[in-house]
Amino acid sequence: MKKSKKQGAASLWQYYAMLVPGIILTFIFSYIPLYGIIIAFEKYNVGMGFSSPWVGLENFRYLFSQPTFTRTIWNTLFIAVWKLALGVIVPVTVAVLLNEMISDRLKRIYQTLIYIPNFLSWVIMAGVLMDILGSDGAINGILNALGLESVNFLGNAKVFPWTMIFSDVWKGFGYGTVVYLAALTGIDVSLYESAKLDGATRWQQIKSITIPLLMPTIILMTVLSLGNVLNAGFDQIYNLYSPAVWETGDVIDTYVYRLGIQQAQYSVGAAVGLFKSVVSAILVVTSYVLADKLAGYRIL
Amino acid sequence: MRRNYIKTAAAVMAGVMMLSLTGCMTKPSGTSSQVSGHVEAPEDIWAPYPEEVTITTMGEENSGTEFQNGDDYQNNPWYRAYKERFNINLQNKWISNDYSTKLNLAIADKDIADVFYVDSARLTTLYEAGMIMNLDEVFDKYASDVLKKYREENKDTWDTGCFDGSLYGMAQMSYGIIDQFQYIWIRQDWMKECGFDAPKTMDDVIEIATTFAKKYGGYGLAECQTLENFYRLALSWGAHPGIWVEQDDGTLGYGTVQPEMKEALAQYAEWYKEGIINPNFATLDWDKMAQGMINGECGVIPFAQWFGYNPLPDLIKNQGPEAIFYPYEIPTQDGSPIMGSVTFNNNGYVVISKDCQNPEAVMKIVNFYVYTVNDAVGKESNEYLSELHSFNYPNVVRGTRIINPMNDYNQYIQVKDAYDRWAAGEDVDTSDLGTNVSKFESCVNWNTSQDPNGVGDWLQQGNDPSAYGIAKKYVDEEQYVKDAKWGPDTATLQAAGSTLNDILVEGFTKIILGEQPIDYFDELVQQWYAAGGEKATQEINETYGK
Amino acid sequence: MEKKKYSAFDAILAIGLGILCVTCVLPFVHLLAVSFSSSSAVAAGKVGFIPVEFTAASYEYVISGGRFLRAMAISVERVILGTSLNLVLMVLTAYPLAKADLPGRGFLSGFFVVTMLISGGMIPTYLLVSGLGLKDTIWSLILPGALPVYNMIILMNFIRGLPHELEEAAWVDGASPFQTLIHVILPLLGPSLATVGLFSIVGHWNDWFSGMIYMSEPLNYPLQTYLQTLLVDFEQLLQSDSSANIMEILSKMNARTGRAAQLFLGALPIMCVYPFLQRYFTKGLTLGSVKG
Repeated sequence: MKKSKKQGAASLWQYYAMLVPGIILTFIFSYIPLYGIIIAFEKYNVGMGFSSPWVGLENFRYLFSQPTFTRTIWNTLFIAVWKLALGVIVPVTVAVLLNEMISDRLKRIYQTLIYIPNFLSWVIMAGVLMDILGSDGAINGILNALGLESVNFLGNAKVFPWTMIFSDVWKGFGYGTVVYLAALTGIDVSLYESAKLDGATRWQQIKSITIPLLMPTIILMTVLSLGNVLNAGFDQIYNLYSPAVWETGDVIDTYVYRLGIQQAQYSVGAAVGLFKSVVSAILVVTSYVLADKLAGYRIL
Repeated sequence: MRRNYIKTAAAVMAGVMMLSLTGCMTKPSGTSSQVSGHVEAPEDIWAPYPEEVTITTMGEENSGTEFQNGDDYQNNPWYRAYKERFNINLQNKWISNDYSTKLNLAIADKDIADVFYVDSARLTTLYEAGMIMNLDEVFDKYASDVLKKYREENKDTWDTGCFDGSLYGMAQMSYGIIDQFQYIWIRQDWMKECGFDAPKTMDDVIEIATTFAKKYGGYGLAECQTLENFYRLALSWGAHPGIWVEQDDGTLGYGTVQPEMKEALAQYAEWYKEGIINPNFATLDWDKMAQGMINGECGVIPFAQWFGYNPLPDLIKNQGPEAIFYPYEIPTQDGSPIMGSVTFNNNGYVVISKDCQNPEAVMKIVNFYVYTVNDAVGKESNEYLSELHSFNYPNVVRGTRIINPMNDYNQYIQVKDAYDRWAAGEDVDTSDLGTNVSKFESCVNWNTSQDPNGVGDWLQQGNDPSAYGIAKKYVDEEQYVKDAKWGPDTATLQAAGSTLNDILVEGFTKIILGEQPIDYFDELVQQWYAAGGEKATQEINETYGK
Repeated sequence: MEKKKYSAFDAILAIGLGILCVTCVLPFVHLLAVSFSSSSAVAAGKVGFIPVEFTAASYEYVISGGRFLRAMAISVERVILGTSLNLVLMVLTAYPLAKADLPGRGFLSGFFVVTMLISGGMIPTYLLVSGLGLKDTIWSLILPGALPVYNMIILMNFIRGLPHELEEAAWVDGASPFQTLIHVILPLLGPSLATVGLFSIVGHWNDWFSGMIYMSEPLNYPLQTYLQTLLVDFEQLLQSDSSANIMEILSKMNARTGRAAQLFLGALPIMCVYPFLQRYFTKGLTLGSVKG
C-alpha cells in the first residue's frame, strides 16, 4: 500500500499536459497585454499609441501631489479593511449557522434568498438604500420608534464609512456563504455522529469540527481578498456619497474617476492601477507566507 | 449513472461548439461593401456623383431610438437622401451607445471611419497623431455658402477647430446661447393664494419662499448636493461661478473664487441657518431633490429653462395642473439688470480621416443638413422636411450635422408668434413653421387639454412669462458675461477633471451647513490655487488673455 | 427518516436567519413594485412594496423592438459555451495544481495568481482581440476570460479537501492521471463545480461591457449590453421627438422604472437556473463517494 501512494514518474507528463491549455490562454490574454502598463510612465495619446512621450514617474508624482489624494488612500484602507474582515466573518457565521439548521428545505430556501442581493447592481441598490436610510426612511423610523435619535447615515462624515461597510457586507455575504457551504458539504457526517456519542454539545461540535475543517477555505478566501485591499467599492460609494462626506468617504477610485478617467486620462488611470497592483501583491505574498509559516496552511 | 452524466455533458458541449462555429452573428454592415477609391466630384456642389461613392462613418446610438417603418441607423430618410441626391452610399462602420470608449479603441487600433465627430481633446489627439485631414481646400471648394456664413459669423468657435491657422475640425456648434440662462421658478397656485406679484428683489423671493414653507409645510428653497441652485442664485451678487471673467486689473480670474461668491455664500449660509433651504440638501442627488418638488414640499427653485420638461410633468401629475411653476428673472442685490453667464458650447467637431478618398462627398453630406434647416422651407415639401427632422431621425446624423446657433432663438420667435395668433383665435397655417410644428402643437395641447407632455414647450416658448421670452431679452440687450475661456480646457484643467471644482463645492457645503465660518472661504480659495488653480489661471491668461 | 428533535436553539436559528433573508428579499420586492408602477408615482417616491398606478409600460418598452429575444439567444449561447469552457479549463488546471508534490507547482501557481493582481488594461486587450480577428465573434466574449483564476483557486482548494483514499485506490488499479481525474475526481466535484459554475454563469450573463466594445453591430449584443443601451441617456430620449406609440409608453415610465424592469428581465432567466444548480450544493460527500 505504501509503495503505491506515489504514481510512477512516467505518467507525470499527463499533469503538465492538463495545464497546457490554461497556460496558453492565460499567457495570450493576460500576459501579452501587460505591455500596456508602460502607459503609466507615458503621457499617453491614443493616436500615438504605446510610443507616446515618456514622462517617467510624472503621473505618479502628479497624483500624489494632489492635496486631496492622500486622504483617499486612508479612506480606502479604512473602508476596505473593515469590508474584508466582516466580509469573512459574516459569511462564515451564516454558513455555519445554516449548516446547523435541521430542516433541509428551509436551509435551501434561505440559501437561495441570501444570494439575491448579488443580482442587484449598486446603481439600482443605491436608489433603494437612499430611501431606506434617509431621514424619513425605514431605518430611522425604527430607531425613532425605539426612542432613539435619528442617524444621518449618508450625510454624517463619521457615520458614512460604516454605512458603506455594513451595506456592502450585507449585499455581498451570500456569495461567501455559498462558497463556505460548498466547503462544508465535504465534511464527513460520521465525525458529527461520533462527537455526539461522546456527548459533545453543538457549540463544541462547531468549534472542534466545523471551524477547523473550514479553516483552509477561510484562509484562502482571506488571502485572495487581500488583493482587493485598495478597492473599497467604486460603484457603491460613487452612487451613495456626496460632497458633505468626501472627508471620510472619498476613496481612490472615486477620486480618480473625478480626475477625469472618462476624458481618456488613461495614463493616470494606469498609474493608479499599477500602484494598487504593487500594494496588493505585497499584501497577498506576505499573507501567503505568514499563513504558511505560522499556521502551516499552504493555500497555493 | 455517473458516466451518463459526463457523456451527456460532453454531447451538449459538442453541440454548442458546432452551433457557435456555424455562427449566428450578423456581419457588421460597414464591412460588407468596399470603400470606393477616389471619384472626381462634379463641379456643382449640389450635383450627384456620376458613379456611386461609398464612405464610412462611426455613430452614436441613442438609447432606445425607435424608427418608423422598420428603418434603422443604416437605412433611414437621411441615408436614402444621400443616395438619391448625391449618389453617396454612407456606411456605418459601427454605432455604439458608448461612443467615447469605442472611439478611443478605434483610434488606438488605427481603424477609424472616413468621417465622424470628436470632442476637443480627441481633436488634438488625432491632429497630433496625424490621423485627420487638413480641410482648408475641401472646405473652400465644397462648403455651401450658408456653411461658410456660419463659419464667418462664429469665427471664435470655428477657430478652436484650427491648428496653425488650418481647419481640421468643423465646429458643430449648439442650438444657441438662449438656452443657457437661469431663472427663479415659482409655484403659481400658491403664489395666487398668497397674493404675491413677480419678485422684484431677492427679499421678495425669500418672503415668498418663507411664506410658502409656513403655509404649506416643507421648506423655502430647493437645493441638492451639487449646490447647483446656489451657483444660479449667486448671479444676483454679480458672481459668475463656473466661468472665467475679466477682473478689475484686466487679467482673467475664475468666477467661483471671486469675492462676490463670498458675499453670496454668507447670505446663503444665513438662509440655511434660518431653515429656508432644504435641510437635507447635502445628501440629496438631483432625483431626490426633484422628488421633494414633486411631492409639493417646496414652491421656489432657482433653475434652468428646462424645468418644464423635468420634473414639472411628474409634479403636475401628482399635484394637479394648477401647481404649475412659472419662470422669473433672478433679481440683483442692487436692482441693476442681471448679467447671465454664457459658456463656450460646441457639441463637437466633424473630422475627416487622412485616408478618406472622397472628402468632397463628406462636404455634400454636411451641406445637405445645413440646407434642410435653413433654405429648404418652401423648396421642399413640409412632409419631407418633417420626416427628416422628427421621430429621432436627426440622431442618425449626429456625427455630420452642423447646427445653426440661432436655431432656438429663431424657433422661439416663430413658435411664440404662431401661438399668440392661435390664442387670439386666428387660424394658423402650420406649413410655414417647417420643423417647428411640434413645438407649436404641444403648446396648443397644453392649453386645450392640459397635457403634461406639452407643458415643457409651453413654459419654454409659448407662455407669458416663458423662459425663452426672458432669455431673448438677455440676448438682445447683451445682458450676459461671456466665458473668457472661449474654447477647450487648458492642460491643467483637463488633468484636474472636476477635482478643482470639487474642493470648492466640498468647502462651500461645510460653510452652508455651519461647520465652518464664512472666512473659511479665503482658506478654500488658497487651497484651490495650491491644487492647480494658480497654474490654470496662468494658462488661461496666456491662452485666452488679451 | 427518523424524527428530529427541535430545540429552542433551532427555533431561534430559523427565525433569526429568516429575518436576515427577509432583508435580502425586500429590496427585490420593492424594485418589482417600482417596475410595474407609473413614472409619476415613482418620481414622487410613493411606491413601497405594491405597484402604484399599475402599468407594464417599462416592460413593453424593453421588450418592444424585437431585439430582446435575439439578444437573449446570444446571451444563452455565450453562457453555455463560456461556462463549459470555464469549467473544463478550471478542472484541468486546478487538478494538477492541487497535487502538493508536483514539481514546479509553486512556479505554475504563481504564473496564474499574478494575473489576478495585475492587468494590462482595456486598450492592449482590445488590440489583441482585434488583431486575432475575434472582433464581432462570440469568441471575443469568451476567450479573454476563458480561465477565471479566482474561481480556479477555489476549486483547487476543494479538490485538496477530497479524501485521498479513492485516488490512491485508482492508482493501484493502474489508472493514469487523466483516467483518475475523469472517473474518480470529477464525480466527487459535483457541489464544487456547481458553485464555481454558478459564478461563471452569473459572470457571463451580467457582463455587458465586453459586448459593447467587441461588437460593431448592435444586433450582436448580448442581453445585458442591449438592455444597457436602452437606458443610457434616457432623459435625453424623453426630450426628443418620438413616434406616437413610443411616446405613449414613455410617458408612463422613467429611468428608474425602466432600470427596475431591465433588472427583472435581465436577472429572471439566471435566477431560474439558480435553484436547479442548488440541488447539487447540498448533496454531500457521502452521495458522491458511492461510485458506480
